[in-house]
Amino acid sequence: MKKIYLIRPKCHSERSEESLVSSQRPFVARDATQGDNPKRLDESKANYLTVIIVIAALVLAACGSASTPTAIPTISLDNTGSSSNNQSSDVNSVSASAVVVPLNEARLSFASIGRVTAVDVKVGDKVTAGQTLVQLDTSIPEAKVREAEANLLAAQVQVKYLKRLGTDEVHLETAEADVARAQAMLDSANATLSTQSTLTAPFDGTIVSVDISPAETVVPGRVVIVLGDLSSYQLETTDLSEREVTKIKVGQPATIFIEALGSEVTGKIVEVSLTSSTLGGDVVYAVTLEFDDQPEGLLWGMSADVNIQTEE
Amino acid sequence: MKQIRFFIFLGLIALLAISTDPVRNAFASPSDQESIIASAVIVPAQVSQLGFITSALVKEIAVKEGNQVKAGDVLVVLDVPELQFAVAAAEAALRSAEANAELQRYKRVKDRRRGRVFFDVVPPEVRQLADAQVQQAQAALEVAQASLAQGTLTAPYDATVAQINIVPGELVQLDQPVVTLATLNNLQIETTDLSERDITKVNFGDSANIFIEALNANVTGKVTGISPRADVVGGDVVFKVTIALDEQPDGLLWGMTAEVVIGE
Repeated sequence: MKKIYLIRPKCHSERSEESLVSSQRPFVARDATQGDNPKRLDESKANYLTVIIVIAALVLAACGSASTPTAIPTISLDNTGSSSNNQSSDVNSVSASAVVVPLNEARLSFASIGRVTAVDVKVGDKVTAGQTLVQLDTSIPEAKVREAEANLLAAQVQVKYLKRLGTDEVHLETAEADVARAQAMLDSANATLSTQSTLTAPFDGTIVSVDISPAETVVPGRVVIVLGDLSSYQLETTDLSEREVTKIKVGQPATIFIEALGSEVTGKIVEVSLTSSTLGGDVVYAVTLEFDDQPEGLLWGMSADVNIQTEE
Repeated sequence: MKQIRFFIFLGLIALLAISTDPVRNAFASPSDQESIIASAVIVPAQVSQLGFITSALVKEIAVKEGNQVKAGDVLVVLDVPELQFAVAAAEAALRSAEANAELQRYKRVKDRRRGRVFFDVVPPEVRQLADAQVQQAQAALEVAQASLAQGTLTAPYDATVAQINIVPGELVQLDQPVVTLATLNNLQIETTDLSERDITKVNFGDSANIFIEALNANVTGKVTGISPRADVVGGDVVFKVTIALDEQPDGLLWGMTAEVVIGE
């Protein structure tokens, strides 16, 4: 019986109050019949009503107090949206949010299935191009190289024998073809061993994420390491809509405010993406900006506000 | 009686209405202080989610959750009869090739020259070929053995078995994580909500005060890692900062929450 009351006080307007009252009626009647006292029915009904009204008032009061503070972020959100629109139409400039990204980044994965034996780097390590980052177990590919070597040897012996005996051309050619094939198999096995069992850094950079531990398995295409060249950064806009992208041209200057550093710097457009993406129902294009003078202390992923001057 | 119950209800509802005011709480966090405050979570320094690079039925699980294992300990064995047969077959092929190579050394071939019968040794190439076939068989055996080894999962380092996701008889898919190992004697702390505005004030080696709610204990630590890349959590740009504990308190468990204060 209590449950009915506990479920009800949820919030919101007179409608819930009405349903509260109507839902109580059968309960009240049943309660009264158990007591066998029609007089008490009226009395308790009145009590119920007052209680219900007080509860409703309290609940409404609670709703009211919660709604005032939530209004603050809603208003501020509207402000930024409208201000960017105003700026773009009034002052020949376009505002957008942007994120700091490195000039060069790589998401590294293996081309084959395997088990990791060693992870030589950790997040934050600086690596040079060609450095080994992750090593796979090579017992199977190594054995396969030895198998290919033995096959090649057998084929070579056969050719030598046939040459000494001086057999006909056809047999000799077949044997020589076997040697060529065995050589190709060996090259292939060696290539698999050297290229697919190690992950090396494609350029000088910093390890940004390591998503692999020793003895874990890898499958082709799963990103295990993210590498970034954290010496030079650029900016990519995140919410520049299709309506505004038409005004943006490569080379246009921009002012960039980086919130985390609290500093304002200048830059210019270097690229306008030719493909779009969607952001909450809006079609947006990524515009890339470079810094005229890169500020100190930038980190990958920091957010920025850019204001692009679009001269007509 | 009933009225009293209703008044209790009234009181409860009034309390609810007062206490649920999340917006005010969110604005109350101090941001103008010199030291940086962040929420954090306890994580092991190293976690491995182990799987197989083959697909087969589980034959045996040699460990239980919570077990301490040493590097090289067997954790899980798969039922791989075809790989075992392949090894047995490769072994037989190797013995056969070796016997054949041995035979070639003593074999004589009958030859008839100028009306006389000679028993010559076999040409050297035939012996070399037999030797090469031994090497082939040897290499094939190594391949079979290496494949068979993939049916057994061993511990890569000393650790604790944190989780086992399979039961014997179950089919294990390629690359499916079956056992999670973690170094639970070496726990560290990772922040979860340190924003980009604060990250510029955090440096390597900064001291940190950590309050662990579950243990109601204060411990100290040092910043050992700052993520070079931000994560976006609920629309906020946050950076992960790793803190090593100076001393690990008793009872500390993976996943406990903590409040950290970095810097003075």
